[in-house]
Amino acid sequence: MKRLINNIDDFLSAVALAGIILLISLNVFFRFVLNNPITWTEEISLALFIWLVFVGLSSAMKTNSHVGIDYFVRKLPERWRFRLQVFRLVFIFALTLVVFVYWGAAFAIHGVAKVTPVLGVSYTFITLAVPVGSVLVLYHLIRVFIRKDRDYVNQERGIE
Amino acid sequence: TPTATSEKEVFTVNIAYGNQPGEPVDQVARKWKELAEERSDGRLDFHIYPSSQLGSEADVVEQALFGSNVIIFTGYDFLMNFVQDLGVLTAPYIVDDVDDLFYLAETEWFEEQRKELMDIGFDIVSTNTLYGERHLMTTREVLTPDDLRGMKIRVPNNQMYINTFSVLGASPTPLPLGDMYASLQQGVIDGAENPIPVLEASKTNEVAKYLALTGHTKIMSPWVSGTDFLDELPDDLLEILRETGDEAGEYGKNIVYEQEEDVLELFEEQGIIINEVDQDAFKEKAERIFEVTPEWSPDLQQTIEELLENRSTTQ
Amino acid sequence: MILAITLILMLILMMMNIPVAYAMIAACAFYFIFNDSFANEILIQRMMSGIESFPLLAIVFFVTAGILMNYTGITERMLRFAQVLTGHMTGGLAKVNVLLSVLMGGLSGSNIADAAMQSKVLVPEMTKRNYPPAFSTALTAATSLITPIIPPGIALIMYGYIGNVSIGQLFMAGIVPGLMLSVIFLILVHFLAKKRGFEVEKKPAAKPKEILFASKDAILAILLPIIIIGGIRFGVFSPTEAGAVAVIYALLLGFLIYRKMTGRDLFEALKESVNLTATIMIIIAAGTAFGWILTLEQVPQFLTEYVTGYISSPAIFLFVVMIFLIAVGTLIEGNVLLIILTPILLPMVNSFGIDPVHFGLFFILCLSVGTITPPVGTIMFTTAAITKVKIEDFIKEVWPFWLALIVAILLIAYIPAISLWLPSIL
Ligand code: NA
Ligand code: NA
Repeated sequence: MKRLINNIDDFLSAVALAGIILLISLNVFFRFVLNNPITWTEEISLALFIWLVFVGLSSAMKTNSHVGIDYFVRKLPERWRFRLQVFRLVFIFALTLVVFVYWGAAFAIHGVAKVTPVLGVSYTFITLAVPVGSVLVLYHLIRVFIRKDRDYVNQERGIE
Repeated sequence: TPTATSEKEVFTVNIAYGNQPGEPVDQVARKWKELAEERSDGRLDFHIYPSSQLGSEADVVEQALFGSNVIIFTGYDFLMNFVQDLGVLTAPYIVDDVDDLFYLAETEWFEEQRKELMDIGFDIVSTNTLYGERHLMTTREVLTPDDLRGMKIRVPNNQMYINTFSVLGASPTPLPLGDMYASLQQGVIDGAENPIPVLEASKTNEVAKYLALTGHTKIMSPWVSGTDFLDELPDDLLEILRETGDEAGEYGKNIVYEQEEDVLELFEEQGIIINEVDQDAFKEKAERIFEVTPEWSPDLQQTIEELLENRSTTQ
Repeated sequence: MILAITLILMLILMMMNIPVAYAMIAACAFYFIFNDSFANEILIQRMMSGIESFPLLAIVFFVTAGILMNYTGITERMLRFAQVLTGHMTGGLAKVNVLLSVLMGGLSGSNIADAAMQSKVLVPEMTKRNYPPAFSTALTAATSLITPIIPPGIALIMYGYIGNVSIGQLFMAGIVPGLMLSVIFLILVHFLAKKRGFEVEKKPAAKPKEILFASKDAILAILLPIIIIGGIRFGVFSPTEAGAVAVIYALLLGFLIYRKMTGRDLFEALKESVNLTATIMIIIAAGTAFGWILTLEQVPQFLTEYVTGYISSPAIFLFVVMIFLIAVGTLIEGNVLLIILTPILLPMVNSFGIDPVHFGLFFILCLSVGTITPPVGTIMFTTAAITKVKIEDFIKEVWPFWLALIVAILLIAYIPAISLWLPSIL
């Protein structure tokens, strides 16, 4: 069960990616071979893409893969460096909570009136990716804090 | 209670549209800025954002819904997402003349639709802007609806235009306007449709040599804002905003007509084959638009026809 | 005033090792809180709008295609092919390194993936043949900069999308500059090898039979870039769809032809792709939001007026831009600069009458210089981290390649035909 929750981000975003690849290739086939383009592939692919990215943020956080500039931090003495790295994670946590989760949820819920151009589906289903994916980010960060995972904080590896 | 300071309070108005600088819409916006700032004594401060600088049509409309102070140039095909029946104003061959469209915007029926829009949180600031008449430009000659069969025609990514070109018998292919040129050149699509100044601006004439004057859609487009923002404005400023918007729209109409003529002349010089087509044949096909749009009120076709008949009898 | 604080806040956060995307988003959040005209939630809209674009979807495909190369057995075949071609020459493996980047460039859109792969695969081999690890690492880093300009390339897609420039044309335009850069590197490597005595002993060239065998093995993989360019050119698919086709093609090779790949591998490859895609796309999302703020404040217009007031000729403009980009590129990540600067620079480019396709190639190469230059260079860090080479040593070895890059940039800047000739005849 715990394993499932820990890896749900990888699973969901990999499925989304596979879905996008299939849909777009299918549309090439339909348009070029059958001369009958499908009008909704773009819309669905983009919705999946947004889910992929925001759920993928959780995978990236888990594996410590976000691009940052550690040049200056690495010049600091070990103790200060560690403190700054802790601050870094606390900052990401707070930002994710306020902007991604809170503003994201407000945006998703208030935005029901906006619909996708072809299928007319409410954007809420797409925008929800932002708060949902970000809750997973918070979950992984909490795990790091609870386990006092020094290696993760120092960006030496990800969480298993 | 209005005090001396609040009378001098300056309200920022961000005007957003997708068209490029220099196009008629841009000239309307600049005229509007000039008129409104002058008449409000600078209490209205217009910022103009062409070329979708603030975001796509859908995005800026959403910004308005969230209470931002933006006014956006949009279309009834787009507002159809909120109030279905409004979309009929962009249905193919719904009117014979653009003046019929401006007439429809003054009717009781339109006022009802507008109220529905206001319940959602939008309001139409001005209805008076003409966008033009859409024609068809293709890589193979099109004279009758039969010629259109199976041709992939680029349409804007919305249901109204997809439906329009399916009932006309083509394969509608939604693509961003920016991809139109390359797609025509490479044969991904066989044609594009738009008002001819837009076709010229996107250089369609370099890659498609046949222009069919189908006039399938005539468009007037509304300037829309959020009720939250409009409610914030003092009454006199709101009045000035609406009044000057209508005046700017009026000013823009002639620009559109002149541009259409200029571009037609240019096309002729460039050897584009321009065909007057039998619009009635296309119109007959287009009737089915009501069948394929079940979202509309069942009596919508009748309502519109009656309104237009009233107009021609009262004239 | 708010804008100035936003900018300073962003830079401070970045220097504190807050991931660049999060630093930008935090700064944007600050701006939205203090701007009355727009609701806070619109920040989320602006971020999403940066991602929600069909052309950008190509990025995820070419990232995936690049990663799949390593799982499907395509990389191995490319390596073998490169080896039979140049392996026997003076500085053989160093030339293989250049050639492999060219070959991979036609398949992958990401230079980070290419640089990481070659650091793992080629540098240890080169060390065995007495190349100093720092030299091999610098070489690998520099040659990986060929990858993004040989189509497909993520930077080309991003530039085309943001600047509304045809991505298909940019792809065509990248071919000649990419090959030119590789030739410059090959010549440089030849002289360096001769001078420093890397693999100077005579070795037998591969027999025709071996070449035939290796090329037969690699031909299906080498066909892919041809399918992509041809498919786009002849209207079979759009650049975005070409990406999906590339992925499907790589999968077919991996599962059916080379039969190296397993279902488990596929999941691992997808996971890796998603990871890399998310880190790239969140930077794009943040950069889009930040760019929107700059537009709202009408910064691009202001700068255009300012710059065109001082500079009168396109030639001087290109030179000034080059110096500026290389300088800021040493501090700020390339993708971030691409997103922020494209809308600012393109109005100037247009007013100077420079072809935006030509400028795109120049722009992307200028930005790539920063990725192998200290203090902040993503490719430098990636390769040096994998090969465990000290940055100081890396710098001592990278400067000849750095100069070669500048030469290539100047050629591309002042001979527009290098980039524009191919798109004009195709
Ligand atoms: Na290389
Ligand atoms: Na490439």
